[in-house]
Amino acid sequence: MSVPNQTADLQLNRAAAGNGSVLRGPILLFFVSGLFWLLIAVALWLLSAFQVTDPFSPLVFPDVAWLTYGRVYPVAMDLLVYGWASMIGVGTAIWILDRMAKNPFPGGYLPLLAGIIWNLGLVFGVWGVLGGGSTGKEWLEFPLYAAFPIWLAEIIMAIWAVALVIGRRSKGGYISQAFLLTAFIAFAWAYGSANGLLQFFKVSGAAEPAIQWWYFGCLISLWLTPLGVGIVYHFVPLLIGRPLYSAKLAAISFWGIVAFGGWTGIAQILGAPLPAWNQTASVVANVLLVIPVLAFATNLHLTMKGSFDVIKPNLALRFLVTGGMVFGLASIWNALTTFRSVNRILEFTWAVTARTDLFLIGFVTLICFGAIYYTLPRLVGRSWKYTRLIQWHFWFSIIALGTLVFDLTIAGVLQGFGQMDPKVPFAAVIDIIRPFLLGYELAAVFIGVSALLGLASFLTVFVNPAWAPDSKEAPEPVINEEVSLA
Amino acid sequence: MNRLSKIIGGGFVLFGLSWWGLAVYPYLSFATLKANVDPNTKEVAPPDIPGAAQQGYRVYAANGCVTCHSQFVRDKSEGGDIDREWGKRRTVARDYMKDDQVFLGVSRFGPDLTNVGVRQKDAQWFYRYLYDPRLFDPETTMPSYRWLFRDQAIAGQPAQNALKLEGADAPRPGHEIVPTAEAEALVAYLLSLKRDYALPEAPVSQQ
Ligand code: HEC
Repeated sequence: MSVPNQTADLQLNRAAAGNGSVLRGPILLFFVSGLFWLLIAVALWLLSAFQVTDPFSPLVFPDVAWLTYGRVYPVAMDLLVYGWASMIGVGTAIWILDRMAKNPFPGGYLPLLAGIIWNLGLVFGVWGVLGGGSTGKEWLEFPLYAAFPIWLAEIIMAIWAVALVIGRRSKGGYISQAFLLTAFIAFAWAYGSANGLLQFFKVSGAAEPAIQWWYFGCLISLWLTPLGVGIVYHFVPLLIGRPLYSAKLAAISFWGIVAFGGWTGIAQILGAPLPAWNQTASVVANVLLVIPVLAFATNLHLTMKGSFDVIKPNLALRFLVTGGMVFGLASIWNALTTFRSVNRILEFTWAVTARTDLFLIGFVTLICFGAIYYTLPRLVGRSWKYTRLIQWHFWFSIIALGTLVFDLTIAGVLQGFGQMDPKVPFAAVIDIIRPFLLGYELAAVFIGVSALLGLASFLTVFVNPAWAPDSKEAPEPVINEEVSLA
Repeated sequence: MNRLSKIIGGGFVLFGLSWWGLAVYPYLSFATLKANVDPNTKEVAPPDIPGAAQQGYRVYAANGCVTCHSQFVRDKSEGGDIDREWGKRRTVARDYMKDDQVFLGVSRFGPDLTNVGVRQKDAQWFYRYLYDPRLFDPETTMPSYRWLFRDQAIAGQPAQNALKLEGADAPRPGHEIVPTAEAEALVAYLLSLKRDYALPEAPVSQQ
């Protein structure tokens, strides 16, 4: 097998959604917007990290309502999820689905429309939450006038994706198609019904947190997860020029994720006033979810086997494979910490925040950058020149992730044991973790730097030389890099 | 298409199950909850939410108090909440049946507020606490919510709910610091957070 080298991999390919496709514009719109929201998210996150460490620092403005921690931090998290991860995920999904369908689909204006509406929703959301319109429900803070456009954009994308796949000229079905379509449909349902029930029908009482945390499970496990997994399943075989190792493992990962994913959220609030069987089912689902995730990670590993040396020169692949492996780790860690014996200590602590951050900053963000590094040169017809920058970006992302997750996890463990002991006064528990809050500030700075490095390398592609076809390079495989499900 | 559509259809059904189980089922089962009336004292539990507190939900939501404060007490078997005296008993679904909005929360960077109205019964305390938490703990990590208050010239009599502040926080001479309508609603809401009545399904746990 010819091992594609860095330039070969990062070369332009004019096939599929490449230059000249009607989809080029929409995909670029999603990418540029995603990066824009990442920067805003990280800036706000950084501000909030300084505020939470020291509420009397000069970065705290007790007279300015819209800059208070309780508004800034939720906006940062929402933008990370609905702005950054979702928009990059959708942009990449458009690229993949179009490529897999093999036929030009006339509905290119639909993704464009969706991208515009999505951005409007995010603008309203930031405006709304900072301005005091937050719903006060974690991950669902956006008021109706912001949530509705985002949902509408999602519905448009779901319809587009389904129509594209139904009308496709290629035969059979592929695992990435299954994951991406599932993601679109599940998110449309979950986001729509959660916002509809909570904000439109104004369900009240203990059913509220039930719906809210059911939704959180879907957001993580049936939206961001299948987007990320679908992207990895598609790109990794493409990048190393070999099919996926096992169709069976791929099927296990798919069925496992759709079967257990929706049940995982309630484990975030164990001990809450919700039906006991709901809570048990959710713990079990979090544990069982390890099976499909490990099936995915194993499949990835076996597909990569023998090609691991490609990771070093191939930067897109490096992001994607690392992201996939972090996902395996995150899932095991998630299962271990939902066991009641562990959860009773760690619940409500920074360790829970770290668990979600590991998923968002480790798995999702790395995959998003991997996808950008692969597709962007093909979209704009230029290749990466400043690969050093991308390497820096990679290592900084890893350092930032490590600092953040280690720091907050240790803080959480100390905080958890402190709170378990009624003899330790509450304020003393906070004193114990103060040094780790400084570590959190540092981690937030690292995250800011890695986001800037990502942005910088994104921008360099536009000044890079146009790609000249080189006959020595193997043409990109046409379609069957994945294994067919049929 | 067949194979792929079957897969998507199957995924849809599996996913729908979780929706039914975790969202619809709790909704339907909580919809039938009724307040408990003590046969002897005729006391209704949970009590009705006072009108003044109704606006407070929105202020609590808007300002993300939930990012640092939880509002539920776990059973002894689930954690140390009762030992820490955040409540005498675990909270159950009925505790929240009259709440317009429920903020369980997943973080306890600040103390649990399920029963903060039991611990503190004085609106003035809450005003001063929100205005400047450092009055109570100079090292605190609770942010100040000064913008919830207004500095106004004293017209005739000082306002009844003017904040009693000294030292660096003291208002200019002839002026007073008073809570805005939002602060009043928020504090009325915080004062209403009292889950100290008895419910048969959540007996007070014996030591
Ligand atoms: C940055 C996190 C944070 C946010 C946001 C926050 N708090 Fe706090 N809060 C704390 C901490 C920490 C303490 C405990 C401080 C101490 O003991 O020194 C506290 C204490 C309190 C107390 C005293 C509790 C007791 O039992 O003594 C009340 C009441 C309170 N907060 C209300 C609020 C309200 C209302 C809001 C929203 C407007 C809010 N807090 C937002 C962190 C926060």
